[in-house]
Amino acid sequence: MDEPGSPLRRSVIVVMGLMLAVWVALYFFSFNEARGQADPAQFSFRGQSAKVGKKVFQAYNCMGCHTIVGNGAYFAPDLTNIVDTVGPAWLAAYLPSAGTWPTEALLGIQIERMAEEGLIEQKTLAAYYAAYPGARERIEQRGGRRANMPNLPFRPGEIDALIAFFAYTSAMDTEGWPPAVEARAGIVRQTRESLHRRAGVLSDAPQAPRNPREAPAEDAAPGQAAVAEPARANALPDGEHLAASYGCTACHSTGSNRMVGPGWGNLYGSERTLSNGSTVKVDDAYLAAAILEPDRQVPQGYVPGVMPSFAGKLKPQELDALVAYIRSLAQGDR
Amino acid sequence: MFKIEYKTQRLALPFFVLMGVLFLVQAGFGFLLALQHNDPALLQGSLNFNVARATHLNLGVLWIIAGFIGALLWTLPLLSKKEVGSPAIAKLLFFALIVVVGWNVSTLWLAQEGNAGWWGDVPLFQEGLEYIEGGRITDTLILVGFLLFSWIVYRTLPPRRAWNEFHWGIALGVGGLTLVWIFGFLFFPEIDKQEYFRWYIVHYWVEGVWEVIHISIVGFLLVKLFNVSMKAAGYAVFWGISLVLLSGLIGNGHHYFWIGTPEVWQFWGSFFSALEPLPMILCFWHIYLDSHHDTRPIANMPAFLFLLGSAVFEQVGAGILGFTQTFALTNVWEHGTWVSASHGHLALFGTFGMLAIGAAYFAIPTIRNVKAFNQRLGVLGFWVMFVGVAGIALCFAFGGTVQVFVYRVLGLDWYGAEVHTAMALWKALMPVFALVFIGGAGITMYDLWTIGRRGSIFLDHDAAIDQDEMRRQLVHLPSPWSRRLRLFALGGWLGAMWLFGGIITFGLLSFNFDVVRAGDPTLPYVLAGIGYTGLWAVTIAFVARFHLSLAARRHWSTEAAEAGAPLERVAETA
Repeated sequence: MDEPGSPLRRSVIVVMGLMLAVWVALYFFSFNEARGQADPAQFSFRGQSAKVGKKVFQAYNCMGCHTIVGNGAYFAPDLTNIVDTVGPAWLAAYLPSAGTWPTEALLGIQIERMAEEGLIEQKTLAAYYAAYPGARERIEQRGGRRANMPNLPFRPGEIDALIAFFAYTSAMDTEGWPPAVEARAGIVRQTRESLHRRAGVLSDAPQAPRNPREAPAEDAAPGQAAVAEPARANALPDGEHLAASYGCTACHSTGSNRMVGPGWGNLYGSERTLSNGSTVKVDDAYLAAAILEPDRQVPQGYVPGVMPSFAGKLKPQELDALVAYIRSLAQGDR
Repeated sequence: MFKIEYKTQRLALPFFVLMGVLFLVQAGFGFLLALQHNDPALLQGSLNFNVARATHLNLGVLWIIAGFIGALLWTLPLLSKKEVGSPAIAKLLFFALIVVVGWNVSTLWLAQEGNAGWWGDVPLFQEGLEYIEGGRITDTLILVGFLLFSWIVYRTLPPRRAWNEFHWGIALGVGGLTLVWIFGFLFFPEIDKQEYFRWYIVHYWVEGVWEVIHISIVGFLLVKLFNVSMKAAGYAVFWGISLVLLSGLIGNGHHYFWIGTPEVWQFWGSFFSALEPLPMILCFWHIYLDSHHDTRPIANMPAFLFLLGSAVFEQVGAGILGFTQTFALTNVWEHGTWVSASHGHLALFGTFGMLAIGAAYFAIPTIRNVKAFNQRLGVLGFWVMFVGVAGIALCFAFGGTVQVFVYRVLGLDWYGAEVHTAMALWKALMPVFALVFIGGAGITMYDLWTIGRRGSIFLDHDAAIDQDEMRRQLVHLPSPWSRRLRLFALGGWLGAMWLFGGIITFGLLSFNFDVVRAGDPTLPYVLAGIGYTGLWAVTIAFVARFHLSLAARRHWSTEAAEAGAPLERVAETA
């Protein structure tokens, strides 16, 4: 048995020193600029830098549910390549009301805006879907359904900053992780269908968006939904349906509780205090203006820039129908 | 049983009480997380999953640290043969720790509001980085606490020339714990650099300095429990610490495979971290040697069982499960899934949590000057917790294997309807085992709380044993599992554990095969099924075997054993 201070024990300390030297050398090798690793300073979105995006990512402890480069919790998907998968417009459509998967109408609005600003090249949904198949899959299978993520109170600019950050992480070289999917399409489809059946959601055929407050497990079969729809909407031909398909109900509940935006129950006819201190009565004209130009008269406690403008998206009858639907929620039978 | 020799050893008691409280709260948060995995809408908006998880992780670190402080305040005077230096600071440290815990827990929820308290690049309140979620205010408070504790340790150690391996281990451990914490004060806009330095804290704690502290405390407690010579144990402590540092320093590279650092890490990380089980094998072997140094009955069975649990889970959770996922080719699949969490729960609670509880079982009866106590509750608590955490880790292992296949191989990424659904069975079982675990934790903490206070059944082994009780239990003695565990058999048990570990490794490796990547999960599922089931069965059976053989000792005539009669015959004739 060797004693303290024996040559053998001393040699351990020498080896330790040697390994420390290897360790330090590896550090410099790892962060050598010649390596060409993505640099967050090169990424920004609508004037928000990837660095600010990383601060937002940390501030909401995104890693506490998701993973980034595989590290974090294992409760929700890895976000490293999310921009490559779904593109910036889908993220902009999803994040303001993360509790509900966005619908095609919401995505369309974001694509149009970003294309106008020159932030993305795709001008149409079809082009966007071709560039980001992940967005198509999400819209077609999940659109309008409840998502597991909570609604988060993002402040103006924070979502843009997150997009810049995810653009940076998507550009990173992570040495081939996660491994590419090489499974046969048939097996993937089969497994997906069987899982969707078990989860009580339907697969393949594009979904008619349904009331997002319904948990996926409570979703009805397609035939039942189609029958139920007209019966519910007899007084107002398509207001309720429009609200779902434009994704309004991702943020607005039909009760009086606040999700992201104000609840619609008993909204009509109430007095609202605006952020400039003045008060306004919620009537047809106010509602129409709020839908077309949501940032002009923002009520107290809400931030501008969260709700997209629906000007040019809604036909006049559709706008009327939506206003009438919101009005009906204050009058009546619910 | 021995009693305290220095009155400042009593300073350990409040830290053990705090440890128990935080432990129970932490386990409760774990139960909540298990429920949220089953129903993601549960408490959404009031206590989001990420906040509950951050609290679970942070309390997990804090109660273990409270336990370490208690363990060291109790052992250091014995090691240094003097009173704790600066006892007033130790009292202050206790209240400081409460403040840190309170502040930390009350700031983590700010993540729901997206409020990190950014002041330039400094997150004052919380920083949303896994394991080190606390903000700079928390970080600073903790650093001050570590410095105070380092000072106490320094003041309690003998002059440097008189240090033996244990003193070195504790000095390196506590000093290193404080030193690497400083890397938590850095902010980087780059993910690769942030992750690189985040692991400086996380890895160098759990696979570095905490292990060093673990080896030193386990070694010393074994000396105390079995009257082993300090010199022999010191030899093991020296080589244990050396192997931890030699393998663990570059072994950190297993965290650097996919974070954006270069490919070369796949070699360095795989190679050195594959060596990390070596010191654990040494520790495992030594707990056998020391406990079989003589054949006297175990004076404090719960304390010994928790030490044994710590060494076994270190071997199985940290060593074997760590080994299965430490190679770039297996890690590429399990990285970012529940498979990691399986290793994490067994390794962290198993190794360090059980050590802290074991140390409390040593210390509390001596501090309360209890001559004998009913050990059955402690033994029961150990077993319920042992089975509970094993079940939790098994759910993580199987659920994680399914997750790898569905999420990575098939590329199905809708967690709500696809990944969660595929894992549903294992998610459903998780709260069940969490409740078992909490039950065990509750029994153990109640027992620790009331040792020497509630009416106890007399079970002092140095004195007479209840004759009827003894006769009743003797009926079971012919069971081969009550016989002495031979070194050869120990090797067999260890070999069986590693054999199943090899099967698990091969199962993870098989995800690389073309047939699996094309969409056929049979091979990895079968190998995981055999590997994990086998490893768990062997582990539980081994601890039962070890326990039974040591528990039987109290029925053997000590005189006969000391006269040199073979143990089996003693057992048979007793």
